[in-house]
Amino acid sequence: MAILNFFVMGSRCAYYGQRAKGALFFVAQVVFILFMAFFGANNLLLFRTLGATEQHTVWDEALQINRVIRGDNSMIVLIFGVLTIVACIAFIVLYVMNIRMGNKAARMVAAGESPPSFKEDLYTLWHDKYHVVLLTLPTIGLVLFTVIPLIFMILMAFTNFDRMNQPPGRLFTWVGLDNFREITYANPRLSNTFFSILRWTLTWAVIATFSNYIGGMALALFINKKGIRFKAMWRSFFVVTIAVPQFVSLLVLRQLLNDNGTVNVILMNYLGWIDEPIRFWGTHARTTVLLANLWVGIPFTLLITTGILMNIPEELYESAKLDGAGPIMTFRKITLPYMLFITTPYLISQFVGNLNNFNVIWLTTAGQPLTLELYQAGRTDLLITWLYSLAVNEQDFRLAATIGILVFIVVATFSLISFNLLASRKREEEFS
Amino acid sequence: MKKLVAFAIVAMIALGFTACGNDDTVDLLVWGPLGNQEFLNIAAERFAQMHPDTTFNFTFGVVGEGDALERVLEDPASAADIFAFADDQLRDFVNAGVLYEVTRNIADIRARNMDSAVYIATLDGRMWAYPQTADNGYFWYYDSSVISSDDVLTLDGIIEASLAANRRFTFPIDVAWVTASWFLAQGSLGLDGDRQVVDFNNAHGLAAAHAMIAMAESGAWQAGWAEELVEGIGTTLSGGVGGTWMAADIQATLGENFGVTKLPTATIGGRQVQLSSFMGTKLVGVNSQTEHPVYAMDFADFLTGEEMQLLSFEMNQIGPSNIAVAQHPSVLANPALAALAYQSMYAFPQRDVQGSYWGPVEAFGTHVVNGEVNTLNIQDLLDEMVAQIMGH
Repeated sequence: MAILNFFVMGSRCAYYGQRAKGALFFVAQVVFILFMAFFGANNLLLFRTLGATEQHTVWDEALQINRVIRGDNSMIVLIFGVLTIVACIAFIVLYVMNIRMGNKAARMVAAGESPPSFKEDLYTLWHDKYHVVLLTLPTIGLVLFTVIPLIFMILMAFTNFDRMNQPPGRLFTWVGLDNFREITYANPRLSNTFFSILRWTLTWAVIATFSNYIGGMALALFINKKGIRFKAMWRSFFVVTIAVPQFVSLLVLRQLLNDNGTVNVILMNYLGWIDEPIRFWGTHARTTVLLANLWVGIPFTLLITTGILMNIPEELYESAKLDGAGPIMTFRKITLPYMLFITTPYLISQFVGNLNNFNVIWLTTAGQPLTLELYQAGRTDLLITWLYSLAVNEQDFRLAATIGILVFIVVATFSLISFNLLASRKREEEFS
Repeated sequence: MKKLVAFAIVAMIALGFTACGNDDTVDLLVWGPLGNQEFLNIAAERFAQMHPDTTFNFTFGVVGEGDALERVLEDPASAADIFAFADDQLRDFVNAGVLYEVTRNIADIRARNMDSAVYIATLDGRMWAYPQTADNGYFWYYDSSVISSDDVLTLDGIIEASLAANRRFTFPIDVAWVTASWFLAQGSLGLDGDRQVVDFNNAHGLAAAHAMIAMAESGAWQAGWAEELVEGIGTTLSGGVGGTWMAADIQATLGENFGVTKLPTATIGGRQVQLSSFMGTKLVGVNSQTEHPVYAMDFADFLTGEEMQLLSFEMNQIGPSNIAVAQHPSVLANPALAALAYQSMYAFPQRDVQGSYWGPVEAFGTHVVNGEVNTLNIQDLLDEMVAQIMGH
């Protein structure tokens, strides 16, 4: 009986009285075998080369058309291949469960107990293992909508899927690590561009994060200062800017700072301070996007830091004053440590978000101004916007996917390191 | 058991509905630019009237001619059956196998369209799309109260007259489409297989780049494209490069001072050289994944035929590729289309432009606009531009 269970799933469970469970295992096995026989095996076979037959045409004399006969579509082959592999993995998990449960039932019978019936199994599932019931649906959703597309995207980096190998007319196929080699060293034009953009991406993330943080905190401190009147009004002014959707603010800024935008027109025609328009989005576009980012970022920091500032116990400041500490000393010894302690996780998430800050770049400069120092990229392009241009304008999906993976590695490294160094994680109890 | 049977029956019925829900009606999805939606509706109505035996279910989507490639390739199977696109996407479309070859009624389609338009729609001897317009180009608009018809013949004349009147002119050298004017004046652009080949870094290209810089430093030049030209002409601007779609606005502003002609000649390498341009047509393609190739082709054929091209001119002042419509008195009387036809004598077919062309040329133009090009780096920049155009 134990051997039969290796071939007919559920047989051992059924033999020891768990008929419904056994039947479910058996049905799963039949479904899987049918699926593999009719679709799965073929999917896997095609997956090895990502398709075999190209689309072609046959002349149809009656209709006077060159009828298109569809071939394999490498993209569909890739998707179905991934789905089939996931199905196989799921089946293996089921298979192992089948062996284990069969063995368990056998052990229980040998020990003189009766194995739990289907009803009892359902009961334990509902009561003792309710977390399994609750988490099953989200897990399936996660696998279907996040994990599988992710695998699909990752695999694309190992193919030659670009403009010249575009389904449905042409097939694309596996090329191993060629794309990674090309981007990191083998093709100087691409690798120079990649590392140059990576440097700017990191610079941007550091400056954008800290400028917003420092700017927002300074503003909050200033408004919080004793003697400043209408505190609530000042705060509301800044907070109102949050109510304006970010993309609207950014598009307005882009317009304002255009060569013939409002700022230049005022400076040139009404004030006469300049003769030529200042080219904000020209050679110094990097500075301009950093400043534009302040506009949309500072109010958020202001909001967050204001709350924290008001929470710092007043006694700390009073005793510091009695000890003769000046305002700079109290800021350095009380305010800043307190703020940093609470807002470091926020800072890190801001930093990671800025590494991939598509919105601010795309809506202000779209990566421009283009420069010949980079390959098909502009001075303000982050890795994420360069990736987008390569995919959308050049249909260079293989490079885009490869860059995507490299971006992930960069972001993951920085997040892991910084979260591990995080003070508030290590000294969780200190300030409570 | 009863429940199971009932469930099975319901499932089968549902399957049956999805499998054979559309055996009589012909569903056709048509994509075109926003401004053309009304036109497409009229075309669909008339086409349906011509085929009373068939029930058509037309659906329309807004996809501009410039975005067609990107949108269709997202998922060709669910993209439009019939879509309009700009001709420089033709090669990518054919490579991707997304276009149905034009075969039905082909003799008539070839005969009724201008040779240049048929050439553009044909690759390796096979015709892949239906020419719809022949107006995708640019030329020179000017304010005739400032620039005389003699001045406008040469760029030097335009610069001199503009400076005298304290005006400027626009010439968007950071728009790769227009930058081509300079490089193509004496240069060439072609294909080696699927690779773009250009010679913009030879002596002619170098001279053209120097001339471009000289224009930018003339004191009369201003950066800017359509928006700047339409806004400034008649007040701060003496004229500039523009396309047919700006004609109505500029004519309204200038009134009787409205001037329009081919691009001027420029002093390149010490002699007068006529500036070139890109000339393109808008095409209509039939998706190779369509369920109804015959109806889709016949509709594309009708949509781009004489009747509809005339209507398109009347509704939107779109320049026809149809020979008969081009000879129509009202088309001949349109000054912008006349200027376009004049410039087309010096133009380059845009069909042979690959996607890799645009970025590097725009980058070079941007370097010029930013004043970053000098005698020391100009040759290196041209070499790099050409290398990037030819691929990574």
